[in-house]
Amino acid sequence: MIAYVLRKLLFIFLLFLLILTLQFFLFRLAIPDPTIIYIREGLGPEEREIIRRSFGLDRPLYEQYLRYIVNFLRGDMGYSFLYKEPVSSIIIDRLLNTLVLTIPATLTAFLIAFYLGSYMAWLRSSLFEKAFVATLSVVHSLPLFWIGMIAIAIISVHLGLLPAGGMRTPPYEAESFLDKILSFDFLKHWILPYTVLTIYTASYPTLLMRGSMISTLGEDFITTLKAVGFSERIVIAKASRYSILPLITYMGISMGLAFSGSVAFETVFSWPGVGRELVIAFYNLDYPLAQGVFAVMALAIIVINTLVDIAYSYLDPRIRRGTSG
Amino acid sequence: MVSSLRSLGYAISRTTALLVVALLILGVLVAGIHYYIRAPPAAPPTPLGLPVQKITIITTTEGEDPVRWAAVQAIAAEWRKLGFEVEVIGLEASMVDKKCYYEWDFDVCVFGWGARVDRLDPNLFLGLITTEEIGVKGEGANNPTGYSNPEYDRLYDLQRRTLDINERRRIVFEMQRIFHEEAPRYNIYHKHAIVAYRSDKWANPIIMPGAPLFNEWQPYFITPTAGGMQELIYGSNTEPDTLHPIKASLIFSWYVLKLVYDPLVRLTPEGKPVPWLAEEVKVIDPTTVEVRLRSNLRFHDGKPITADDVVFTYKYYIKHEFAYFRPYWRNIEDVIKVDDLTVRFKLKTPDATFMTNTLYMIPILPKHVWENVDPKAVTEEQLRELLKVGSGPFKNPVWVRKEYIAVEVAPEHFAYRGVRIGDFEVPPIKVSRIIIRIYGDLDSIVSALIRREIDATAVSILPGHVDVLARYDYIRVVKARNFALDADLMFNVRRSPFDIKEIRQALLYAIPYDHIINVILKGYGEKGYIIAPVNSFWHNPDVKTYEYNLEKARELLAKAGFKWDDKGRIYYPVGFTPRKQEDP
Repeated sequence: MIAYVLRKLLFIFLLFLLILTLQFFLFRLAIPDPTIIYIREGLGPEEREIIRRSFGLDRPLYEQYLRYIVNFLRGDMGYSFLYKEPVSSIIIDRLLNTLVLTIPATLTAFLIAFYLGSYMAWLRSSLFEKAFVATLSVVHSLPLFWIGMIAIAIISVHLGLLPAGGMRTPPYEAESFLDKILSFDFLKHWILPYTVLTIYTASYPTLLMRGSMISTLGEDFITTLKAVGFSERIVIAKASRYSILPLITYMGISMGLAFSGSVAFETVFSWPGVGRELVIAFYNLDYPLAQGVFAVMALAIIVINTLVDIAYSYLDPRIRRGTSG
Repeated sequence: MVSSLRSLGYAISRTTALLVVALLILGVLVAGIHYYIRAPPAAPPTPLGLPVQKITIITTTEGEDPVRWAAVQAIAAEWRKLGFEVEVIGLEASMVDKKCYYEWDFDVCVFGWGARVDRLDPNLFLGLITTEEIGVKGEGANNPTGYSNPEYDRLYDLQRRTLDINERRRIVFEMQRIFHEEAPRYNIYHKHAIVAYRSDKWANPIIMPGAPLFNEWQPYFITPTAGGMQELIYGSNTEPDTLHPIKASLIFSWYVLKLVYDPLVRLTPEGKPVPWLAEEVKVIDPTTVEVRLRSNLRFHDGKPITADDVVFTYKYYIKHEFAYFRPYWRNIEDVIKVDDLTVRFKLKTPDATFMTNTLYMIPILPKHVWENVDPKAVTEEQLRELLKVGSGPFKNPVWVRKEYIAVEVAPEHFAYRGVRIGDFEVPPIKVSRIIIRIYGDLDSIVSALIRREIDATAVSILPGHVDVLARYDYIRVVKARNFALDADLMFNVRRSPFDIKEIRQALLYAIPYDHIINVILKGYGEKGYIIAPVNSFWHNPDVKTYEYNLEKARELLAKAGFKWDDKGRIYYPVGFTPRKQEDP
């Protein structure tokens, strides 16, 4: 088992290294000269040469690459071209903003998916089920940012109930991140994007859970349980436990994606998250920042998927036997 | 049964065959008649020169700037009517820059120059066709057209060293005349900015070119309808790169920093320089300028602003080679303290832009705060402390990235209660605090304005928003003229036929200006100049402009000896050897 974990860790490390290498060269191919943004600002070639030098871009490529890898593994993601600040501090700040929205939304969404999905399968072909299948399919096929825009248009602009965007009403001062989010004002800003994101995130896994549950309900042991005379509640509970596997898989992916935030969604709600930062990084050819965001996303997805693999083996003994044997 | 089916099949195919033959005969007949009518009645064939090669227009992609893209497509369509073969290539901005400015590998290139307040001084834009700015291939200087005119160069040097502003204006007018007449490059249009503000809370905002609502004069001019002092809240979708005064390299950053730090000179809303921290700016000789400070100046920590701070600031920027300001400091030979309130600048060459650019752009930093600071090693926390001691009308900047920036008014500032500089009257400040809220996109800014979360837009919104906002009686939309070169069309005069002035003029007569402004820009724009009309002090209203006139264009081409074949394709004059660029 230890050998298995070690092998897995080595694999993660190599995979991560590969991702770092790939993105280093891809960005340099795509953006040969990041000081091009200063043309808009009217800087001439000599001024841009000074800027290139100050970021070490006049060094040979292999030297830049080695420095980048070594620094990255030491936790130093370099300096943002745009902000002239360490990338890591920018990302941590923005990542917390994103996670405070995406993690609760994802968790709530999967909780809803689990219960609602099971219940829908149980009440199969009732009006309730049909209505929900239709609604959820529609919600899932709409673009998230569009749902956000509609929610803002109705609830914020038309009814004037909640703020249209942002995390807090400025000017505010907060000592720490906790200080920032522990306030009623934050809650007022948070509730609308949270609700929209939850509903959207829940739509697909609910349908997934329903499908999985329907096939479980066709199994012999359910008939047996019913025949023995267990109550409806207990039968649903048992059946849903056996149907949870696809949901867990999907949750792994969703959690990984939660770290990247949603670009369009954060833009619509003016949420100061990591997704919006990524867009701005691209627009300003700030590849150290873009690389940092991608590295964090990649790492999150790799780690969470590994955790899901492990969780799997507990939920389904067949997998455990398959890996250790 | 089977045979009857087959005979039906034959019948169909026989009918079809007949039909096809009939159609064929008809086609031949029509074609013949058509040819007979169109064929020229045996005119003697005119001798033609070489065919004019295909014109390739390089410009930015539709994604980068949809208006510019559509305008270039419209131009290409008109040039085709003149008999030219035209191809449009859209490239990513950095590639356009490389192809046109660095490699000179283009026939026609359409790119742009942004509006920055210091560009109200005509020096940069007029320099775009000087011989000096051709530079060397591969170095990306400002004049890739290759156009060179000794008389124009002479005037350019003359205006630069002419320190008498009215005399300089006269030269600048003459240069604009040559610029438009010779037309090696031509700006097609100026886009208007669209901004909006809450008219129930504010009145009389000042609209500045390039920075319509969010500008350094606004706190002095905008008036709260309720009287007294009010918080002015802007909405923006961009924010500074940094507020570090030795790193900030975006226009937006400097709009904010200009509230916190004062320069020696400011430009009035009309673009005229007026002494600001300076009491007086005196030209001793063409390379020596003496600046005397006001005597009642204080930094935000109460310490007086003296000549030492001015000398320190200029030397600090030069020592640390601040790239963004290099155009402003590179001509400074030395900065010398004369007495506590007087500083003398020694320049390398005489320079009329020293007042309008250098003295205006460089902010005065407190020596006692920055003296021992290595600008490269400043952390975020340190920066926040450093910014607390400014010299400008607002202080204590607070910035939460992607959320907001706030500055509060500094009552100790010399212009807090208004000030009079010559015939320029600055009213007292009526804004207690400026907040800039950062939103994700323009739609969110518009929603926030409707919800009264913000008072004014700091950036330009879109024509589509105008109708939405018109429904709210407490919002006023303002159309603001601009001086950016939004579609700077360059001819590569190293290549034929662009080396012939009449051809460049003819091509400019074949641009559908009205269509571009009324249809593509939806009316939010005006005809282009090199020095825009809104830059009223420097703009020459009498320069030659080009109207859409295909007849005139053909006339000019014919006069230059160009001819068309019977398909309408254009040819060089007989015996003309077109230039092929490369190896100058």
